[in-house]
Amino acid sequence: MSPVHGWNVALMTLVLVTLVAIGIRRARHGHTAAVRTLPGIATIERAVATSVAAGRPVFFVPGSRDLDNMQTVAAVALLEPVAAMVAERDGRLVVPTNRSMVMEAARTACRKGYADAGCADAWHDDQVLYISDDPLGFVAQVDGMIVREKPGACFFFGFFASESLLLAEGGRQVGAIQVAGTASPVQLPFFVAACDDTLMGEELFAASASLSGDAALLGSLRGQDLGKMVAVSLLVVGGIAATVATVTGWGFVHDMAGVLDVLLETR
Amino acid sequence: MSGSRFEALQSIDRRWIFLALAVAVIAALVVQPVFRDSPGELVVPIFAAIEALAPGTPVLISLDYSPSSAPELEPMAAALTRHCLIRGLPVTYLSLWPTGNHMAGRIVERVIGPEYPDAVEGREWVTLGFQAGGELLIHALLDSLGSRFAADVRGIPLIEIPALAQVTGLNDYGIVVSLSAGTPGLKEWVLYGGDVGAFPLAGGCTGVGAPQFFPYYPRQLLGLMAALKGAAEYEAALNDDYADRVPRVMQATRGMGPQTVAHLVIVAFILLGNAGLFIGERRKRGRR
Amino acid sequence: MKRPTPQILLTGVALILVVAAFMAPPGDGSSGGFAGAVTYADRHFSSWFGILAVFAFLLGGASLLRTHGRRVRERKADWHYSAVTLVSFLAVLIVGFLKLGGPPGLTGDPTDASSWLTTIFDSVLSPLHATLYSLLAFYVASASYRAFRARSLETSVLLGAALIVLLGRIPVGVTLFRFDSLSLWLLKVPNTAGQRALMIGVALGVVALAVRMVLGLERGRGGDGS
Repeated sequence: MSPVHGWNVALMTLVLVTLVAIGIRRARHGHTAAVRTLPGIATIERAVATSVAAGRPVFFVPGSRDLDNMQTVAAVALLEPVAAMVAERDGRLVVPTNRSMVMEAARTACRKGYADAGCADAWHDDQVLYISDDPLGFVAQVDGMIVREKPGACFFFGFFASESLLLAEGGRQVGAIQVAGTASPVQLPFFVAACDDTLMGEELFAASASLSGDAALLGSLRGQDLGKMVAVSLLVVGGIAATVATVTGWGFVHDMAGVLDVLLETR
Repeated sequence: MSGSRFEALQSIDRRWIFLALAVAVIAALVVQPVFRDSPGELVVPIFAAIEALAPGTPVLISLDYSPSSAPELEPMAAALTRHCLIRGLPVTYLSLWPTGNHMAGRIVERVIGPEYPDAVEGREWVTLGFQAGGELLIHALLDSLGSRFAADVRGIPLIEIPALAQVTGLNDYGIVVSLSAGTPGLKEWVLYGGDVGAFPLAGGCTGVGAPQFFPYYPRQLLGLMAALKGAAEYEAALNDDYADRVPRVMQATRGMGPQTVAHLVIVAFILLGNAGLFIGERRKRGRR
Repeated sequence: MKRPTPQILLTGVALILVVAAFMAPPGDGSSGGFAGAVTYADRHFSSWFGILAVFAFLLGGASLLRTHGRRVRERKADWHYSAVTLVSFLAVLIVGFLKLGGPPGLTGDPTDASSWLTTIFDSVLSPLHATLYSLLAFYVASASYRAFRARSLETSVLLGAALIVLLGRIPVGVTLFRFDSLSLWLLKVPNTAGQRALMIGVALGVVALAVRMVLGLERGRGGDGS
């Protein structure tokens, strides 16, 4: 087999995977991790309760990309506990999707959520709708549904492009409590402006683990944090080394900065 | 003005904002004010890189957008096309988006046809069109265009197209420019194309998408045309160097008029809201 | 731990793709063995996703027909919107399948300039797209008016940055206030720092989610959460 391409990326991947695996293993052996409650998660619970009490449906939009996008996978994973939450309160959940495979995955997640809440009979597959692959066609219909059905809570999780503000302003117009979550940096400001709470970046990937309370899943978050510490350490050491090397011209510091540069460069 | 009126400034009905914006933009479209721009720090490297290519060096433009974002990105494609045709650089159009074939067709119809009637398809430019796969398509094209494109959109085999005579894979292009409205687009070109391959990569993007590409400049992206202003700056660079060979006022420069007015309306409403907040707060404190 | 077939497939394919991303040898994967499997995965798995998506579209199309068909049949509230959806869906489907107006036959290009599908794209879809996308300008204006208020030090900084960028990106702002350099600095330095921090966090989140999926821990994607 030919030599590894991008060996530095492979090495970093291996380190991060190992840290996450260690986190999971330690959690399985009883080393539980304390995880702060994400404000967005608390708002989800409040929004579902308020919406159901008002007799209004709950809308959950799992992004606008297919299942090959990790944000969509994270959104579908989050849908399951949200479906259970709605089912426990005897509410109505509506899940518009814009990819057929996401529709199927969302139906599976909702069925499981309703079954977990002991309400399997209350679930109907038609509550998960396929709308259109076209993002703007999708937005047009979902906004129309929001205006007509006046949901009490709207959740937008996953990857969004220009749909973010169009959807969130639609929900805002009918007075829905809104929570969004995306790892798409350019869409975050729109969600922050139009929603009550927003899960930012990595919080989206941590949300399902946080909601489940499962020790192993929470352990993976611990591993994720260890990875972040490694990244921050490299940034700090690299920044200091590069600065000192430039200011003083010391050879060994220059070499150290060079090693870090090779380790972290992508081209 | 009473205190309640100042407080009302904090909660203007959004329909008034919509109306003000619509009236201002329509007025600007009718009056057509022209604001001249000058090439900025992010656009100059792209222009200079194309200037530095020897005539005959192929250039790839990836049209990763749809009609909805064309008003921002099409002027970039048009300006790049003009520059390449003037310099004698054969252009290849492809797209990661299903709407790409139509977008390429519009460039041919609106720019190449009327402005460069002597340009011949297959020699001065070639449209490979859309192929599914996004980042995986880019990955496959690195080694060979032929692995995913058997022919151009007219059905002519790649081997018979003069514009591709020097091209096997992406590394044979003098520069690759992705004009991107989302995913898959410029980010995928950076991660799976530019970072892995050995060709200079530049980009153009919508205003909304621009902030996410700054981390890639200048190491992974040669330059960036951000939004309509980026396109207008490229047009300004063309006007500076080739005034006799390009239209005096091009699409993006014309579009900057309504855009300027729209920005000013938004700034005015933001200031109104804050004025209401400050005066309201001061009066509240005064009453206490 | 329960290991259903989809989970085994997911884990196996994921591991092959991870190895392929770093170690795929040249060729088309016909050499056989592990190296051949890795190369094959690297070159051809992308096509598999496309094939799966096409078949999944049948499910989506069927769901759309069933949901809206029932609304029309039972004359539910706002059924006429469903009727419009059904007619549009079927009309475009038929025009595309039969390649009306364009080159016929299996190899005929349905997006040819003479085809009805192209006419529909240019005359209906393009203006609809442009209209919906332009709504963003109005929503951005009203959201900016609402969001940018100097209520605290942090929001005042945000407000200042917004005004500088808004004015720095138009010729008037450049001429009157010389905000172009400051606007570019805001985008290149503080913005880039924030974007990079977010990207690092997201990358770590993706790695953690991927590990949970590969190990069958994540709910909803074949894992049982046990």
